[in-house]
Order: sequence, then C-alpha cells, then structure tokens
Amino acid sequence: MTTVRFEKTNGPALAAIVAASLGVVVLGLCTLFAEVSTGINNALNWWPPAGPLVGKTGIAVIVWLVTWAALHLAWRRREVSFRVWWAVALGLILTGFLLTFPPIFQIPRGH
Amino acid sequence: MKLTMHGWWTVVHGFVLVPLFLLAFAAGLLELLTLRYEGVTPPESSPALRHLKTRVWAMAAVAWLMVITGTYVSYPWYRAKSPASPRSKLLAAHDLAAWHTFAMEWKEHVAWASPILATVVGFIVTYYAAELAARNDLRRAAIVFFVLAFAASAVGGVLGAFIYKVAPIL
Repeated sequence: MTTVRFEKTNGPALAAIVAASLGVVVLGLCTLFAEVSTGINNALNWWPPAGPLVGKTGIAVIVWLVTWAALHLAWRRREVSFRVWWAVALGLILTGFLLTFPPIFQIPRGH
Repeated sequence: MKLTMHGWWTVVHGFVLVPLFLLAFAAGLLELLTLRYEGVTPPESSPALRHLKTRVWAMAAVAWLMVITGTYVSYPWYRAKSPASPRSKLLAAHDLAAWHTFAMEWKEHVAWASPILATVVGFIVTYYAAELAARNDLRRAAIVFFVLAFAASAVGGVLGAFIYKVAPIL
C-alpha cells in the first residue's frame, strides 16, 4: 500500500469548516433569540427596510469570518483530529439548520 | 408585458442567478466526485483542477449574489408596510398566511447558510488544489458542504418560486 505524504496540514481546512458551522449555528441562534425577545429583535434591526434579517445574517457572517481568521492562525501548521472536528461541525450545522426551521424557532410565539 | 424595476430585480434574483447556480453546482459536484488520486496527484495546472476551482467559486459567488440581492433589494419590497406588498397580502388572507409565516420565514434565514458553506468549499479546493485528490477525508467534507450549500439554496429557491406565484412583487 502506498502512503501519501502531504505538504499541507489539515488545520486550515478544519478551521474553515468549523468556523462556517459556527456561523450557521449563530444564524440559527439569532433567529431564535429574535423570537424570544422583542429587545433582541429590535437590536437586530440594523436596516429597517429589511428588518432584523440584516442583523441576524450580519452577526452570523461576522462570527464566521472572525472565527475563521482566529482558527486559521491557530491551526495553520497543525494536523488536527478530522473525526472530532468534523463531527462538531456537522452537529453545529444540523443545529443551525433546525433553528432556522419555522416550526422550531417559532415555538416562543406559542403556535 | 412590461416589467417594472421590481419585476426586473425579481427576474435577476430568481430567473438568472438560479440557473447559473444550478449549472455551477452540477459541474462543481461532478468535478469534486471525479477528482481521484490514482498513484499521482494531478498537476496543479491540470484542466480538471482549473475547472473545479472555477465552478466551486462560481457557485459561491452566485450564492452570495442571491442572498445579497434577495435581502437588500427584493425583501424590502416584499415586506413593505403598504397593504399592496406581498407580505401584507399573504398575512391578510388566513389561508395564505403560511406562505409568509412558514415559507418566507424559512427561506429568508436558511438561504444565508449557502454562501458561507460554498465559500468554504472554494477555499478548500484552492488551498489544497492537487493535494485534495489524495485527501479523501477533506474531499468528502468538501462534497458534503457543497451539497448542504445547494440544499440551503434549494429551499430558498423553491419556496421563493411558490411565494412569487402566490403573491408576486410587482
């Protein structure tokens, strides 16, 4: 069996994967919290014509990019556990997708 | 039939960007699936790698354009306070309200996951390039992200088409 030697570590890929997953879960959490609290909903209303959607997606994008930069710096020369971080990423994405599904995030509305 | 400015933007958002997105996804997925290690990694300048990079970045770019035009151009018209806006019309009719409370509210949020996930695939393909052919774990992860990015956009696209049919932005 041939063993392939890689020039690059897997850290940068997993940094991008985990950061994006965190961005997706933050999008879901912002969607839920905007339903739970009128104060949060108003705080997310960064641009009134589009309402709180701009704040929710803006925060998700900021968290994604900042986390990506931080993790990339931390992991750029490291080989990290693919299995562990891939599982974390899938869990975060699944949670994020569920939290953007109306029957779930609208639970606080009571219907 | 003469299209208004709102109508033109809807055409760009839904009928120009969506087909481009579908083409980029189908071609990019095929390239990702067929990128295999066969004893040697493909040369960095190989057409297969060049096509792969172009297609995944094209899908990411189109996904960004779709959510940006959707959120900042079409959505304000959709949710305008006027009784003639699609949102007002849907919420005013009991049997149509779910097109807003379920369909629009799902679409407007989940679609934003698509460009984020697609951008990651673009990064992985560009950063690892030829090495990705021999890295099955990362290649499979990129495929999963690519499909999830498509799924998130598909929800937005399909629901958007139905909402437009029920209450068009005029």
